[in-house]
Amino acid sequence: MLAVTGLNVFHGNIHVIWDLSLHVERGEIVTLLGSNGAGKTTVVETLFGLNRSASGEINFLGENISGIPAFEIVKRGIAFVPEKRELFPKMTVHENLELGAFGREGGHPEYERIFELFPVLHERKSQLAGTLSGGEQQMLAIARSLMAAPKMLVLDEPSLGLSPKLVEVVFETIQRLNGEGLTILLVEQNVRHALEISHRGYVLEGGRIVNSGTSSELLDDANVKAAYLGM
Amino acid sequence: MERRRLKLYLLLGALVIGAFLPLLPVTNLYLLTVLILMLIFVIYASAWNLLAYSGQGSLGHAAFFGLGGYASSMIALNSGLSPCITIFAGAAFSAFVGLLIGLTCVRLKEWFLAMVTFGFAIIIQTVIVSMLASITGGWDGYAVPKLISSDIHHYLLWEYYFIFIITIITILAIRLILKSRIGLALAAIRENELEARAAGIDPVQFKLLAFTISAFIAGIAGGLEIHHFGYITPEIFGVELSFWPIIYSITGGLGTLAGPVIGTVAVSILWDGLNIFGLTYERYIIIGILLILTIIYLPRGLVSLGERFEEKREGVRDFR
Repeated sequence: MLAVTGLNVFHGNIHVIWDLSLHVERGEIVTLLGSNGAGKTTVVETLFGLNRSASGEINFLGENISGIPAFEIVKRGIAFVPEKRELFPKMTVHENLELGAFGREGGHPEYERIFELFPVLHERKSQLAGTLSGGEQQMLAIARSLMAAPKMLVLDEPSLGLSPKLVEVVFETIQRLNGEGLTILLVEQNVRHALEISHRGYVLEGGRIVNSGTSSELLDDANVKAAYLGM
Repeated sequence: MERRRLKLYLLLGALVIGAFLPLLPVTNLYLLTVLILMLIFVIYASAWNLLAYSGQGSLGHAAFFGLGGYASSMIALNSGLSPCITIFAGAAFSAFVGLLIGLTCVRLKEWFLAMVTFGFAIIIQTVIVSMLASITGGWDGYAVPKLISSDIHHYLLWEYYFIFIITIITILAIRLILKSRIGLALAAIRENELEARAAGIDPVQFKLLAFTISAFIAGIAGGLEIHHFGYITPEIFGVELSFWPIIYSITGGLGTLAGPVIGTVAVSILWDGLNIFGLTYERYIIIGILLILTIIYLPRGLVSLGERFEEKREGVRDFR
């Protein structure tokens, strides 16, 4: 579904992503792992047209999408839940959802389905997004991206700053969405949790993919254990 | 619901006052002129405020106000059409220039944007007084047809009602825009442009749209003003004319529909009231001080006064 080959990204003069290649197949949950500063966010921002790549190809559903602006990419079926769940804090929950469906061409926004998935959002429909709790904001960020009826969802550190209980809820939601047929690329620092729900994973260090494999392979890998699982 | 009903009563009250005030026996020609200018500036401030709603600030809106005036008067003089029609053609010209200026501006932010719009107003003024002096009369300007011919009995009253109706239509149109998809997109761009893009909104397209509509409405206001006075000079591009809509909008409430209306009415009453009491020059200082106090103590403007008196509520939406 998504295939990235030979991606190089610079921030000014600094080479931050080196020859990165990865692929995500239909129906999969794939995790991109790595510690702070490994370049995870840069990768997803580049996928999403918010960063320019120096070279490399990003192929989605057989089309090269590198260099296409973000608002066009949404229309092609990739939705992005950014790090720190950036919402429109001074707008209501409902308006935030409405904005999620903005790029959609044709079809009616599926508020019922979203409110069924996230009942709490229905209760808080007319509340300002900025007044929601952290967990609710994360739910809203995910719900908003679903409003675009994406074929693939990219989540950048959805567990960031949430209590363990809420992390649990967020990961369950992700798994449930995947069960309903949504393809997911998950970017996480919470390695154990992320691998437990995903099919495959890539390990990013210093802007390079240093390891990849199925989740069970990675969970058993000595380096991964030592570096990320503290074993 | 209570709030909603209160708002409706206030709105109806304002409409009734607006409709009947000119008919009261105390209303002389001076007062009628003040009211007419007040309405024109309600339109002008609303135009500026629409641009501000999209997160763009302009320090040179006089460019559009003035161009609307020049274009409308030239069309009226050359075609013999009534200014009641040509003001819209003038506004269309202003919108066209707004689109061109917008193309250079939409990628700029905050101070850079403000300075570029400021610069454009100066450039346009300079072109009018120098290169185009042969047709514009340079600094002296020229006489233009009155909106309603002064031969007609009670022409000023007719003029008032004509402008009153345009004011209502303008505000309704802006309300319609803000409640639509366009308004949603503009608010999203203002709140978080990066996120807006991630939501599938093309910021450039919508900012340009806001620029063009704002220039159109400002152009209408400019046309109304010069056809009211019966003459036009390049002073119409002056700094003062760029700053009034900002002062009105901030005083009333930035980014709200009612803000520019309330702000314009309040400041105008004060401005002309002080003049009546002979404080012609002091009023600049008084208005200046009041503006500073408003920004410090009432940053959301006069429209937020009502909320101040209510009990603490959960976060109130700044805009709309």
